[in-house]
Amino acid sequence: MRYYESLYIVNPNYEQERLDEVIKSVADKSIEYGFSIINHRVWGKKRLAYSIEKHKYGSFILLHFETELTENLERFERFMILQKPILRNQTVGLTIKPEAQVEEKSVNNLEQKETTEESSVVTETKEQSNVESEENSEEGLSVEEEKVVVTEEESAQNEETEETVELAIEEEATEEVQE
Amino acid sequence: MAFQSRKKFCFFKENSITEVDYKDVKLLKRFVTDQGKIMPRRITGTSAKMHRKLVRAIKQARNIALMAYTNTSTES
Repeated sequence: MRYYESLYIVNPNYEQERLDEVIKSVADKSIEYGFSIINHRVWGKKRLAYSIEKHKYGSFILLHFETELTENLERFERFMILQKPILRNQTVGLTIKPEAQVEEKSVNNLEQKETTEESSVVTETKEQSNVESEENSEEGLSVEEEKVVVTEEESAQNEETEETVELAIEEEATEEVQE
Repeated sequence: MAFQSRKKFCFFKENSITEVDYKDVKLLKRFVTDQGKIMPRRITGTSAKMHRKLVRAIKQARNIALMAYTNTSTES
């Protein structure tokens, strides 16, 4: 089997529905000529290096296929040229079999689903941990309050000068006495 | 004062690339001048075998409007 890659540019003003129609017509024709399609996907809308029929942009579509019927390639080329929505096309022979990317996409989708499931599990565990932490915080509120009071006292002491420290010690002593 | 030229090397051999894809425009632009001309082998240092493949890829990319045939200052 010989492998070929056909890249063609479709009119950029076409909407998705009309673009799909063009893709479908090309696919039908290639099947009619006995080509077995490996890949047929939209490469994307790209800016053309030079304007073709006064179009600065173009929708690039990539078609990978395999065939033994080399005489049908010329007919296929002719069909592509005659299509009005197709601005330019080029078919190139490949030495290596191209990888089918449709399967990869499905695999990616599966992976994404798995990741979303994992993330949901993670969120659930997070919620659980939050609940636990809230419970703990309710229990340990009194302890934390005490700590905060202690730290405030310490910071205040650091700011005071040596003279004020002496005064503060005296004040504390008086407070203790009062208590 | 002796002039020491930098030793040339084949980019494809260094990076162990055997086939040149015409869709890889970023790679092809390394071997094209600002005007859009294909740079000669004596400047780029590519091997004869890879230069032939490179030239074919550049011409294919030009045909499908991925690369420009010419790039004059008036156009840009």
